[in-house]
Amino acid sequence: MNNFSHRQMARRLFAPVVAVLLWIPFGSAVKAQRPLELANVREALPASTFFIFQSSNVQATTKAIATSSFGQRLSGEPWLSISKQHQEKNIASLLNTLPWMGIEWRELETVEAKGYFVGFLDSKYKPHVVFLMQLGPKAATHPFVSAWKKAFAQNRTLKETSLDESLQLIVAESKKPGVSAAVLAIGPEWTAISSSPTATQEWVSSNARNTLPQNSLYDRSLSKSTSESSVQYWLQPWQLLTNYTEASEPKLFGALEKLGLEQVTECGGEIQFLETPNPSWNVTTEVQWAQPPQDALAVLSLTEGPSITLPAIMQGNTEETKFDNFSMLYLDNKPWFQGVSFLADLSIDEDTPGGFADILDSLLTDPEGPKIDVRKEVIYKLGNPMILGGSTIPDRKKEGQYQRQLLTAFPFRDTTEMRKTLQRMFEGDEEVTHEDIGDFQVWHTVHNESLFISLSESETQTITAAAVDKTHVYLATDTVWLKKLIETANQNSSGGAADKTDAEPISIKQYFDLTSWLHRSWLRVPERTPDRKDYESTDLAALVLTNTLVPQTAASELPPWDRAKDLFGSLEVVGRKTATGVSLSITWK
Amino acid sequence: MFAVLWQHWRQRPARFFLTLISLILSTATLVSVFVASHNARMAFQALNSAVKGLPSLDIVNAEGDRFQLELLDKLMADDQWQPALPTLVRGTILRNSTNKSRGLALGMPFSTMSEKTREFTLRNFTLGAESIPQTGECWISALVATSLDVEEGDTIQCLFRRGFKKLTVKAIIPVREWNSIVNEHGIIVDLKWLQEVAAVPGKVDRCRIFLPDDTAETRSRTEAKLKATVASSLKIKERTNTVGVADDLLKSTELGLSFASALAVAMAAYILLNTTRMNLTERRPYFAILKCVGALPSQIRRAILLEAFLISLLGVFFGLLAGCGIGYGMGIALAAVLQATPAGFSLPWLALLAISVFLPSLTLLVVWVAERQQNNVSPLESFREPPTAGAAKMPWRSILAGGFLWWVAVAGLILVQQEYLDAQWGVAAGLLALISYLLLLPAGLIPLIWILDRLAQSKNGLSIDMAKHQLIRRPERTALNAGFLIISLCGAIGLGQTLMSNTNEINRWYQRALPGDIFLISTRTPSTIIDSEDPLRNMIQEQPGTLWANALRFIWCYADEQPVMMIVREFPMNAPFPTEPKGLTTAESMKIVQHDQVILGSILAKKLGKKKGDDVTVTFNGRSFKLPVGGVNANFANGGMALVINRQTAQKHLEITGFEWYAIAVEPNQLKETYDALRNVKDQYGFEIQLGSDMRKGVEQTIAGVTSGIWSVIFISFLTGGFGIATTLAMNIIEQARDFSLIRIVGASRRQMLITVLTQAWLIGLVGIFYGLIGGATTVFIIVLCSEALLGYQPDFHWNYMLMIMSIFGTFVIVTLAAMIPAWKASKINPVEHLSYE
Repeated sequence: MNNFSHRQMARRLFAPVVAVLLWIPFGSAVKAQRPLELANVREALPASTFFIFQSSNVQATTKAIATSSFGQRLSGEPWLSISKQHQEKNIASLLNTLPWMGIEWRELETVEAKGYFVGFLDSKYKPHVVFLMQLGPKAATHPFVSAWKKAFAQNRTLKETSLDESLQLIVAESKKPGVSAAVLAIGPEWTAISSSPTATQEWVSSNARNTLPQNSLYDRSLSKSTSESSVQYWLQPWQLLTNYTEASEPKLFGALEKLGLEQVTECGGEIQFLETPNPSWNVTTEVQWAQPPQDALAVLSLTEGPSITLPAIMQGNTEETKFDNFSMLYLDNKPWFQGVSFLADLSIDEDTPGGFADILDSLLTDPEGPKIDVRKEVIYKLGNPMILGGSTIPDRKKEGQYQRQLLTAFPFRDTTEMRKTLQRMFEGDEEVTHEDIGDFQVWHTVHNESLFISLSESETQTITAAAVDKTHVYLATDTVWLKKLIETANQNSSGGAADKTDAEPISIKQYFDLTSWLHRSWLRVPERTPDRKDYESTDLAALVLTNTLVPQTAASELPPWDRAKDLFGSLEVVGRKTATGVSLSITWK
Repeated sequence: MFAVLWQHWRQRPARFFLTLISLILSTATLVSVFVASHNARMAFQALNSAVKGLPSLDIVNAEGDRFQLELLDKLMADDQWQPALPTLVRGTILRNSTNKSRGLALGMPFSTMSEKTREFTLRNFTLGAESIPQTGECWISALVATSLDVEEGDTIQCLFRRGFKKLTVKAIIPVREWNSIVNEHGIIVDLKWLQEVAAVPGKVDRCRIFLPDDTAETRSRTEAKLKATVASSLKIKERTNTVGVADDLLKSTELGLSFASALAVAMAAYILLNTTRMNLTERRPYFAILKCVGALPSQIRRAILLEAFLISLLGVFFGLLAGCGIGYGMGIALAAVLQATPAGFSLPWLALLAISVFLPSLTLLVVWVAERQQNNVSPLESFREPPTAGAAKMPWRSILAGGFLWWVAVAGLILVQQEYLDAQWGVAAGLLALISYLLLLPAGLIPLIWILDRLAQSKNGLSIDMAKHQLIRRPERTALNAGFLIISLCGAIGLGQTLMSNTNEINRWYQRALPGDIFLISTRTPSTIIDSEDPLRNMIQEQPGTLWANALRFIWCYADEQPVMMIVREFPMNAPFPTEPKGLTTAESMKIVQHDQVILGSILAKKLGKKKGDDVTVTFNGRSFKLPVGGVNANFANGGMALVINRQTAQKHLEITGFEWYAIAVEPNQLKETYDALRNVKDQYGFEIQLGSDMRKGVEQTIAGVTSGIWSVIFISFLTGGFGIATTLAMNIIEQARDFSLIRIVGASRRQMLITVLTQAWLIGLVGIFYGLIGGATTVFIIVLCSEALLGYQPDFHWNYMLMIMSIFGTFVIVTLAAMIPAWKASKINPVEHLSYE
């Protein structure tokens, strides 16, 4: 028994002891691979990656961008002069990539290899970007690396270190104050450049592996490439927004957070740079959000339907009747209106939900009110698609200023009923005037005040006029403008009808004439000047323009709109709802 | 003389004790009823003074709509009408952060009001001139401020025609000060601003003219002058407020209080009369002896009066103490029934003083009358036995008087029924009828003698014969004894039958008015979400197994200026209809409510003089609207001052959202699932959940409690009657001691004596039951007959035979128990002692 027991014990101990003994000489020799050594980029990326732009051939992509319509426009005046200013003052912008990317655009033309532009967080949760190129083991002699070294040796001191024999780090430290540092890391597989030396060192020297889920949108987006110049991308929009606005733009971030934008989990797709039939950027993207969408995001509760031509009222072509954008949306009315209510609540009082519902309910419950159940009698009966058109027209009261006017059109099955409802709504209201203009019946306020309800006492834009024709209900933000649109429509009486084409059903169709649409935003750009820390308006487009194109620029240095507008072109979006969000096809001309 | 009487009482402590107890009982009955009534009235007076406000008259549009303030330009410019406060009232939703409540915005012309009105307003609100609200500012009632959790300086949001307006709270006005000028709680803002945001330029709802005092003369004089001054499209009316509800409740209770007080006085007087007269009658031979030994009649009279005075003083003293204690308890119970907060306990000193004087005075009066009657009888006659049964004469004068009074009582009740007389006269008529029964009592002896003659021929006929002789020889004593039973039975059968029948009716009504398997009882103010968007409503409708659901709201408003409860409910097609209006089928009733007509409770309809086809003007929050009356039904809610309206109809005129009660019927096999699903969301939506069966059990228990209360009243009634009989029978035995002694000497056994006394008691019981049943049935008949006049409808009446049987059985039990001790004493009588005594 005892002998047996000893043998048993010896056998049990044998295996682990041998394993430990074998591990010491061999196991320790098999050291973990660092990111720049890994062939599979998916594993090499930092675990905290929140965006990736991928090119299978950086050279081809750079050339495609440069020769694209946008690239050419950006390389001409007035942007060339602004670019020089940014370089002189070391201002990070789209025109001066050096401070934030560590390189200039044109330098990428030498990289005839895979490239990844990646956003990630360091161990202190600060965001950084790194550009990753698959230059292989001979990267040290690659023209790009040589050019980089040469460029950064001018104003900086280059310090070369080796983490081990396979990983070389060159840190460019600034000689002058205000000039940012940069780093070049060369590994056997990948070469990385960044303007964040510490974060890059931290990443390239770690053994951590990225654990992005398999078969996710990330995989789907990055696995397909239609051409070598196209760019595949994947990003987490909320993460991106958080990293770049939470600290710097707390007001904006707070507002976006209240909208519930964190529900948009990720998006991914491809950008193609096309020459034919027209020079354009074609973007396909799949956007995913939590289902069902809540809060403000519920306005994206979509259904599907055929593409239709615009109603006659939106087909004007004079300066005053032309629309510079329209959105055609097939909506699931009930959840969509919950999103609208959420947005309206924010306008009434950010901290107290339910205000908009109270206003709507009072239209039914108020003994002195019109006794209309707005949701049941109007909202839930609205047809599809909702068409939202916008026009930037000169402000009639302030010379030289522009106003953005909006017109919303809803098909309505029984417009006679709708006329009666509106009649009831404004019966005995001395502030509202009723007019018959051709096929249209129009209700509007006398002094361009709110026709229905005023969400807040400080609101600058509200619905001041409503019209009903045989097919649609229209809501407009300006009575004079609406009347002009109606005149146009009466001259051209073709109404909105379903397209006869066999096109696939759509959920979203949008058109933005950016050269017109951004006019008002451009005028607001000086709101963010070097001496003004907080952005003052809620114009997100103006903020984006400020931060990307003309940061830290005084109003006197800004190019006038007439010279700037040619940069923007137009944007067309067509989308279909998916189980998890929406799939979009965007054409930027 | 006094020493002799003192010795007499000391030798007979039992008699003294019985006399004293009777006096205490009568005093305590009277005092307790007065104390309880007084405290109930005081509670209402306190409530009244708290909400009544300053004396004023309102000028309003005769059609119930708003009117242009410019119609009063002349009046407003005249200083004699100041302070005058034109007011625009507009319903709104008030919000402060997440707190929200429906309220009223009241516009007052701060910028244009006269200096006198401004000073008056500021003084009554205890504010300085700097507190006057400017545009964008408001005053707020403390009541609303508390519900919104607002402090001075905070900003609230106020919903109007085109959205929310922000207002800064300039001052919070305490409730008492607020009520002094306006009775609707909410916010006060500048009139012009309110006219603008509410889109009613130049209009107001009323102009309140404040009066220098609250006298009727000032009121009528001012009203007449105002009528002559203002345009014919306007009218002058009294300021209405919620105290009307309390007033009305008090008025309807006043009848009950009066009836209770009258019965208490009658009972007290009867006990006194009975005790005192028997006390004197029994001692007739004793006083004859005193006269024989030389006592002067005046000496005896003084001594008897002093004796009666002293005993009544003792009785009143202890009776006052006991009565106050009982009254305190009854006051709390009454306040609870009348839904009033007890306003502290107080004593009606004047009434107590009156009782302290009245009862001894009544005692002295009764004693004095009895003594005078006795004094007219010679001592020799006093020693003589009462006349034999054959020689006893029927007191026809008394019987005729009784008959006459009965007819007067019936005539009075007919006049009440026909509404020529006020309902208060019904109480007097009822009492008159009771007295008439007592006077008619001797007539009841005729059939009794006939029965006794037949029974006397039986084997144990001797005892019956002896009992018959004792009863007939002393008709007054017999009548007094039976009188207790008649009063008790009238109460027991009359009130008992009616109340039992009515509680059954209430139970039936309740079961029909509130059917359902699950009840949700809101613990918050009703939600402001409209029905089509109400998530709870949608959840209930979509719950598998839901058969129907009925959301109920109870709105306090005015119907033709009468404070009423408006029951807003739904009428699902597959749900049972609550009580149908008189003469209508369920289908017809359903049509009524679907066609925007209201159903008035019968009592309300009676009070307003409305019937099917009429219109009723409903006023809520200062706004009035007319509703057609579709019918009148039995409705016990709010004491019958209620009307029922379809929810959809009400929503056309009022802001009706949410619920106070939600009755839901579900498939039996889905009951648990539905109950669990609703229980899971009860905290989210703020309600308590109860199964219909539990709810009905609760109601049945409440009704059972009421029924037990009725039985208790009946029991106490019998107990009082029994106690009265016990004391009078005990005195009877003492009085008949000599007779019994002689009968014992001539060979009657102790058993025969026992049976004789018991038979006497049973015979009295028989007389009492005979008249009691007639009296009780008449009372029932009168109440049922008068209910049409009082309630506006005649509830279904069902005799409760068990109550009748129990009453008869109870009478025999009480009488037997009351007679046991006297009978036992009679059987143990020592002839030697009693004969020697005399």
